[in-house]
Amino acid sequence: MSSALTVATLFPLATVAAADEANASALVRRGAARDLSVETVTVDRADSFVDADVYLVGGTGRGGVAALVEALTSTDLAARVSDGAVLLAVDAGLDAIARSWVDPSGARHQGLGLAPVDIHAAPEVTGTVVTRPDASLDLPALIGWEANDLRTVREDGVRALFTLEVGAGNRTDDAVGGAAEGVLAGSVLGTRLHGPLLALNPELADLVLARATHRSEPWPALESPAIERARRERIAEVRRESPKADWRSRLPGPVAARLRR
Amino acid sequence: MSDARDPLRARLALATGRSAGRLSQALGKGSGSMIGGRLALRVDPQVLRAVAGDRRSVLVTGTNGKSTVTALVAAAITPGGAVVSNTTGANMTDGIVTALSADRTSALAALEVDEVYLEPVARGTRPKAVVVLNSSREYTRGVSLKSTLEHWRRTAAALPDDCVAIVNVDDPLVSWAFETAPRRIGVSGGLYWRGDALICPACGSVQDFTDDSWSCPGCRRSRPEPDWKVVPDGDGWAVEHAGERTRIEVTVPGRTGPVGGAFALAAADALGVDVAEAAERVSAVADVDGRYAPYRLGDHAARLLMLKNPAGWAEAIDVAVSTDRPLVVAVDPFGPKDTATMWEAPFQRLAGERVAVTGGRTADAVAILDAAGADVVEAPDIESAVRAHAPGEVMVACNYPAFRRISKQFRGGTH
Repeated sequence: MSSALTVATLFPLATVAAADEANASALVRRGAARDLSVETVTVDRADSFVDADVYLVGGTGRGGVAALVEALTSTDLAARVSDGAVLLAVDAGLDAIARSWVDPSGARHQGLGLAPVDIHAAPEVTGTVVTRPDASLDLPALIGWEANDLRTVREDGVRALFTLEVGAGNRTDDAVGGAAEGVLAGSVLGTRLHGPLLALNPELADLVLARATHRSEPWPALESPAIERARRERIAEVRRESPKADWRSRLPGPVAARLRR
Repeated sequence: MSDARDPLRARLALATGRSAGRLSQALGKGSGSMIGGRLALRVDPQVLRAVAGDRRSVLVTGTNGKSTVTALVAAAITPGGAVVSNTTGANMTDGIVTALSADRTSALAALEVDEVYLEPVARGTRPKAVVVLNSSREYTRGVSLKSTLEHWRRTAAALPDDCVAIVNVDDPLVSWAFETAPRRIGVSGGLYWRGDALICPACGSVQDFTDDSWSCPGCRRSRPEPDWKVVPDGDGWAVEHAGERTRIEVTVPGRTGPVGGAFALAAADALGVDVAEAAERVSAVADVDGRYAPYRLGDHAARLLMLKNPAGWAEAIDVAVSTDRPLVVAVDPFGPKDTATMWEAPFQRLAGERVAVTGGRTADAVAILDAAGADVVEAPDIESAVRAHAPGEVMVACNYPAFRRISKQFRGGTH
């Protein structure tokens, strides 16, 4: 093993489980295939916070966000992130690290401000999403799940993490060729897509590992046929069930964006 | 059924519920097991208290194994009198109202209770015993484990003085949540899934686990000595209690069966039923909802297990490993996140082992098992999946729709 990384899962019991913890083991597996030794730690109280290269925070359930903000505030997370540690914040985790978020009653609260986004209320949307391939991040079409009643508004000039072929995403209507989803700002990756996201999308695990090791050149190709097949079947199923998204996806981006309104 | 002693409002509520249930059945909208109770509760929120009456109830709650243990409890307490039970698995307040209003005469009740409904059900039924099996995160409901545990702790503190909490002392979360109960009895119920119990719920320290015990270095809590313990007994199992050893035979595979039996015996004892007699009744339970009886397939015997969360999968994996039985994984489509939780289960315990996979979500199961290092074989149907293993007994671990499909198929033909 050429180098070692620490991946810390932060306060998983504060939110509703959505199989997000499989993300840590996905980083271990993908890391091993990339000759990186990855160690995982679970942090569930502020004084057991550790210096890590990657922090995972997430799960669904807005009921836990206040507790999550409080717990995270008393850690060195902000300092570690400004030093370049990677933070992957999922759903309730994204609320917690946003500049501001709304609770189910509609009241606005301050978040940690690690992601330049503000969260607003929106109608509920649930479903399986498919992302568009993104050459700039070396990502193929990925699969994920969304279930939230929130709009995620990025600060001007801040990029989204994904553009969606199928799915509602941030609901900001500002992307070309599909909905914007999540946020990518420095070493912070924020998304509403929960579940075993990195397990099902190893290329996203690669992106996290590359950022954590400050690697700029692309990783050598690495096939994972079993996962690719599972994802291909799932994406095909989503496309079958969303015929509208499918015909839109065949149009040039700007036309599709206009039709979406 | 209404009873002349019921308050007028409860009678009205029950009459409303009854006709709605019948209507629901007549319209083919279901068994009518929930709608009736739901409407009755809307007319009179106190209706549960009326239908529970003064019968002696045992409530069974926890994340996994509720239906099975409720069936074992119902059997164990029959020497004490007629028993009503919500055998359809409708385990929220409305389903329990429906079950109890359909049988107003049985003097005893064995009730499966959804973990989030424990407080209202306990308030309404004023139970003699509450059996608490385990606690792990629930993936479908949108309630965090933390809030479930706090709810239990409140409920435990408000239990009647003559109610015994029968808790799994191997589970630190359950142990903590019920330390506020007026009376508490410990069962060593095993803990297959430590993932959610690594951190002490009382003080937040990382717990020290040994093979069969736990302790917290922070607040010095530790596993209470169990009053009821499952021990190997020749080629089977026995339950030890107060220096006595009672043999039990349960069809449920692995330790799950005898552990469920131990909870059932403890509940019977709490109701004053003779333990030896209770053990006979428990041993006579051949099957619970088609879940455990082995199905013959030529030289193979298939035992089905139904699983819904990582703790359940962990238990199935443990059964396969500890009984040295080969495993078939059968998963069918069941909504968008049907196989998501399987990514968290410890399938690496099966690394290098042959596992046969079948069902509509074969691709997902293959990916999960492949990532865990298992030797995966795909099979087009359940028969060939079972036959991918050497003759003998095979564990078939199913998600909910695969379980329904396969148990129906087995019952219909090859059984």
